[in-house]
Amino acid sequence: MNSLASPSAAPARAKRHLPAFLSHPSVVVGGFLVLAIVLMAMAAPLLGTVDPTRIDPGMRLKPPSELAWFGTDLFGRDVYSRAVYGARSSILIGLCVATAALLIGVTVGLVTGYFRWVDAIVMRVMDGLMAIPTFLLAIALVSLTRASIGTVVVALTIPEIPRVVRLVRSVVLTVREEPFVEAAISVGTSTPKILVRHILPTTYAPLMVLGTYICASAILIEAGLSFLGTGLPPEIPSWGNMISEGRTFFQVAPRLVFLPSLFLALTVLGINLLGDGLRDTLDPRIAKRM
Amino acid sequence: MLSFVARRVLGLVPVILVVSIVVFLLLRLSPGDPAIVIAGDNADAATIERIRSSLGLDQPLVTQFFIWAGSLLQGDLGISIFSNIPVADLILQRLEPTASLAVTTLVFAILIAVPLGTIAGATAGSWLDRGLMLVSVLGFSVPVFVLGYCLIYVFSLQLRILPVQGFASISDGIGPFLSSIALPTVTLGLAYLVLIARITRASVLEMMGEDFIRTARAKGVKERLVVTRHALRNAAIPILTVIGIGVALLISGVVVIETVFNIPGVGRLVVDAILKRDYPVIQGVILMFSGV
Repeated sequence: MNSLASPSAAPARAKRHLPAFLSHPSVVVGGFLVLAIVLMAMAAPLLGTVDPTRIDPGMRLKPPSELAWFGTDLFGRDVYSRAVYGARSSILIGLCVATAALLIGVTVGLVTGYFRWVDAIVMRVMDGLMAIPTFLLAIALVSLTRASIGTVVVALTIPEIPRVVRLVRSVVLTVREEPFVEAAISVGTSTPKILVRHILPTTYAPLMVLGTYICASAILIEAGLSFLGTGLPPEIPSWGNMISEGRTFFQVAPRLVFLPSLFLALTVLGINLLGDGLRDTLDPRIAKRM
Repeated sequence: MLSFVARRVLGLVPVILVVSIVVFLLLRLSPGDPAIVIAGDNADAATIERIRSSLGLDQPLVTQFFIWAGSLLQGDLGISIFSNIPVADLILQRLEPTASLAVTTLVFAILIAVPLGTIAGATAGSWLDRGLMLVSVLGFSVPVFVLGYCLIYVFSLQLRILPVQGFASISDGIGPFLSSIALPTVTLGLAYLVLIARITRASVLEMMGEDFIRTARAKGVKERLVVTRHALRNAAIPILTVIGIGVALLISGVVVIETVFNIPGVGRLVVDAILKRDYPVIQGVILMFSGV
């Protein structure tokens, strides 16, 4: 009977927030930016692009023209097409890392927050992971294997997990003492059911906010890795790869660096604004927990 | 107090242990075999085997870890597989540019962020406050290397007032040092600056609503002194905390920024080591940065 109460409570709360959500300027601007980039990534073949991997030695480092709107790069590839297609890798990586980090982090966080004896061990491991600078850990992880989207996702997910675990754990620690949890225990609800039906929904709001930040940070770190030459393989069009290849010719053709940089900055800006707006509207207290 | 310090220090032990196990496993389990790399293309199996045993790579993993951790405790970070120079020496050689950059960035960011954040917090809602919040979101969103290239473009290529890349030691004179480190400092410092400014603003703003501020105003303290002596001073703890946390942020930035500006520092060292799979160097640098 308790189990009936919480699922209906969650949508009700979401509905109440919906107007506040959409009227917040950060959410509107950020949401618009993110939507535009996602649409651009999905509709990439329709946006006047050519094959972003097509190499044309006769067209090397050409300035912008009607054929290539932002000119061509060292291998004669169309810069505009590569930048548009680059949105696909960034968004894919951002989403995958955020989803994976949230799923793993939530599972570990729920268990550690609820069972005190696991807590001490797991949190020490998490502290240790957090002590290693995110970027260095990701770089070291990605250098373990051949570069591919999969390895980059794994390498970016691992350093983000401790942040999720900490957040979920802190929510669980406060919620598990609440009367509704005690009530659930007293009527004999099984522990997994308490965790999933009663405690898990209280973490949704802060997790949504953290998820957007993880997504933004993953996109930034991927670009940084690719920039250093340790990220995605060079044949995959990605903003980091483009900046990395373009930097050699920066003095001759700064557009090679600037166009992907602009897309990258706008995407991350959009996601961050969205996150800030969600944080303000969903729960002002979240800001302090992070 | 003493027992508090002791407990905090003891609390660090498991963290350090976990960091060292992670760092050790991470790099020892990677597929690239340094023995084969060092032996070169034409080496026979016996040569590779000899190199492997001379590096201790033929020992069981647990033994390797204890040997490594044992020498670590004596301050021995091992020897670079490629250059045969002790890792500690390699790091020391590269420390000056990185340390200089870290210090100038800290000074730059704090000197600007704290006054800016304080004014914004004291005048919440003003144009300065709104402007700062806008810039701070931008500062979090623009990757350091992008910002770096923008600054190089404006100041080095268009205005031609600062060198494009490179590093001049402080022993080469204060002028060349400052002009070579100006752009990297601003680039690296911006994200850090907005982080500190944001926390300063929030923390001063919170203090401005306290009773003791009203009391101070009531007894006729000048508004400037109310803000600096009363609000800022009480807001100091979160600000100091975030300055500390932000150092981790700086480290990620340093690795990238040294590549952008071609600075021969520790960040460049670790990137090169990763590209060459030079385990001891990677381990040493990560441990050093995690220790910070």
